[in-house]
Amino acid sequence: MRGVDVDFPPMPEPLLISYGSSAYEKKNGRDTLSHLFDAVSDCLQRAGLLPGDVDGLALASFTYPPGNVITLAEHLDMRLRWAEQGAFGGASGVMSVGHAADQIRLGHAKCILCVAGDAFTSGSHEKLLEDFTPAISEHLGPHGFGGANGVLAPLQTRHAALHGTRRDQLGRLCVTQRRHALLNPNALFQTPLTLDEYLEARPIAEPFHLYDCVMPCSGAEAVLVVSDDIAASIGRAGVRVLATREMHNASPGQLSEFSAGWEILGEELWSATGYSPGDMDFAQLYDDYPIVVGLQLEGYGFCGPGECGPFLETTDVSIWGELPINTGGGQLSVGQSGAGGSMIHLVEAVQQLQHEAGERQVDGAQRGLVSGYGLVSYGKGLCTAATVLERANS
Amino acid sequence: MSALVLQRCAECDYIANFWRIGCPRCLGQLAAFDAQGAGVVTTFSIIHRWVARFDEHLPIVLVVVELAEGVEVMASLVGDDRVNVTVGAPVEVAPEGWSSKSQFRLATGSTN
Repeated sequence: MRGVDVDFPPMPEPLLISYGSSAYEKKNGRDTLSHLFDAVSDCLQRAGLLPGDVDGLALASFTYPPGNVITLAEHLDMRLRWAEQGAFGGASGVMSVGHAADQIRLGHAKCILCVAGDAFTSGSHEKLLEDFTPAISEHLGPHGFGGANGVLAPLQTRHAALHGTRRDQLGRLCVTQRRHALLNPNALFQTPLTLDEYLEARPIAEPFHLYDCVMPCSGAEAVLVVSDDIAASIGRAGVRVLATREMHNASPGQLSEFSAGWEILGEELWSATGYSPGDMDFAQLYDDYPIVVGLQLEGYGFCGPGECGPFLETTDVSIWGELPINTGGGQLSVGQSGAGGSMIHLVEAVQQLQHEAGERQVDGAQRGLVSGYGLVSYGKGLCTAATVLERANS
Repeated sequence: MSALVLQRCAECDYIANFWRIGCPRCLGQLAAFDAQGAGVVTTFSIIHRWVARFDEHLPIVLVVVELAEGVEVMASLVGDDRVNVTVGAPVEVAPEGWSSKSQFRLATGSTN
């Protein structure tokens, strides 16, 4: 056989070495390209790099079309050896980092920028949701389905019916995330939230009330994955991408499943890394709604099946507590910048693991889980992805 | 819209929960048939805020219904008593629906 004697060089190791965000703003502000540029610029400049240094690009954006990942590269004079257009909603960001890490291990690219973001105007977010997928526009739109709120609120209804999960349990997560947001200058919500305010808020799509729902806004987020030789030349130790897994349409044809495949992803991630939930110094979990965070906590094994209510009631999930969750405030308190919401938890995780999170730094953070979830369609979100990240040299 | 139309595969009897171009299980052809129009609510949400053209129908009760045929569909309820919906409530297709898609109502005799 040819090639069996080839002495392969060791695979490059991918490292997350930088992150960036645009300045978030409410609807009717700057356009999508402006936000994408600001996040790219913030991310590259933090690493001392320029667009010409980038040879791989992943983009997720609902509002940039007809532009896409390649026209963004054209706009920024990037010469690419790898590109990905993330069409996976709130899972796009984590997926892009997993795929980018694989491309670097294979030697196909050495400096991959992953960016996601959107800008909305009045009414444009509702329009996006009404035509989000073919099954939604054809089968749910005519029911006045209420967008993602209406489709995912039934998860909480059923969880409450089966397990007795209460709003005051889930609300503790929202209150804690708001405390984190007060330490994040980019968060659009800068006033404290009490549990009473949470409980008394007006209903949106029951059992979801106002503070269970994210506020659509304009913004963008970016992270940079490079090979270890580039990281060394820049002098940034960075963050290792230990393992990443994804799943799509986890329960074909079924609507009442709680999980988007999180048990399987968790089992594989813990097996691949040798870690367990108790080894995580934080969890950045996709937070379109607190019940979705709760279901991820169950799926990844931070608590037992059906037990997210008591877990959130009795566990300090603040940056000072046992399991810090969504340490930057998350989408619930920063704002959901469309596809940028798929990347915001990665930006926070890389910042935490490089010990650059300032006032909201989780003391001595060495490793954490980041999970994405999205592409809400007929009765469920279709896509999920998760990754375990670790501070290099730890 | 009154009748609830589903698709069944002529080859393998697969029943689709929403319209499909062909059978996902055996790639055979699907044929439309009138469903019984009865089922049980497995979960729901009650929508108070959405785009303006649905304002007259608020609150909209969006339900997941497990049909007698064994598949789960998503639809909405009609009827003044719709907000009394519970998990496990029996429902039937409502001929008086306002949507272009089949809607349900709490079944007659339901104790909910």
